[in-house]
Amino acid sequence: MRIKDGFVLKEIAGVNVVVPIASQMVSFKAIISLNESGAFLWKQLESEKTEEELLKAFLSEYDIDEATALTDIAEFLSNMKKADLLV
Amino acid sequence: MKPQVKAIPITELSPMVESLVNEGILVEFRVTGSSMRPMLSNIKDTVILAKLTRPLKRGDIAFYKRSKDTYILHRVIKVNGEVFDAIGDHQTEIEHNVPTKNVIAVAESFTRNGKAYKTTNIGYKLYSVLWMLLIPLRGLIFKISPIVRKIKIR
Repeated sequence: MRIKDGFVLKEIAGVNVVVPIASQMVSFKAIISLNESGAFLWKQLESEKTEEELLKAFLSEYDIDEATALTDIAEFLSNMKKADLLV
Repeated sequence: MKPQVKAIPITELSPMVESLVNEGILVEFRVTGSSMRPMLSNIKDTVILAKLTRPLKRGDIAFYKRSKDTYILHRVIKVNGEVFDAIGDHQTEIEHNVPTKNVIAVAESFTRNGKAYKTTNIGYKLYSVLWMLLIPLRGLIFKISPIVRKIKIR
């Protein structure tokens, strides 16, 4: 066995990065960071959830009032949609 | 703490971006912040950078190093030999005399609202020329537009 054609290993800024050479473009657009509560919501969304279910889960995990949770979750979901990460 | 979604700040990707473009590879990343609105919006839009292979010129969107850990993506409005002036599309203050050797790459295309555009696109060039000409009026425009929006909503 050997490495598939079309990939090359480059040392970039001290990191060994595998880069596809066929496509002349490397995209970082899917690399997003989430904070802890964002990661919590992500894990909830790994299976199908309604906004209500998300709210319930969030409220049982975090000590926060419902109104704030509602707006925060709505904003989070809006950003996730902007990053094209939700169906 | 409020749940957050963040595009990775350019500063963290920069060493990699620099190495990749120098090898002739295009690099795409998500825009962070709002300094390049209305052209590019935080998280939603992306920019595709290429190595600069011709002289920097007015209208170019340059990816440059401002200081040790600060990388900026703003529009070039004037080139004076070895230095240039730049400003974000959503800004009113010009950054003067950035060394041209600090430029790592320029935007060769971008995606906006899911659609891809090259910087050679006529509509885009028209926007960038007009928007640069309006720099002296931007302060006023930014003050008026939220008011206009509120009136429209009513």
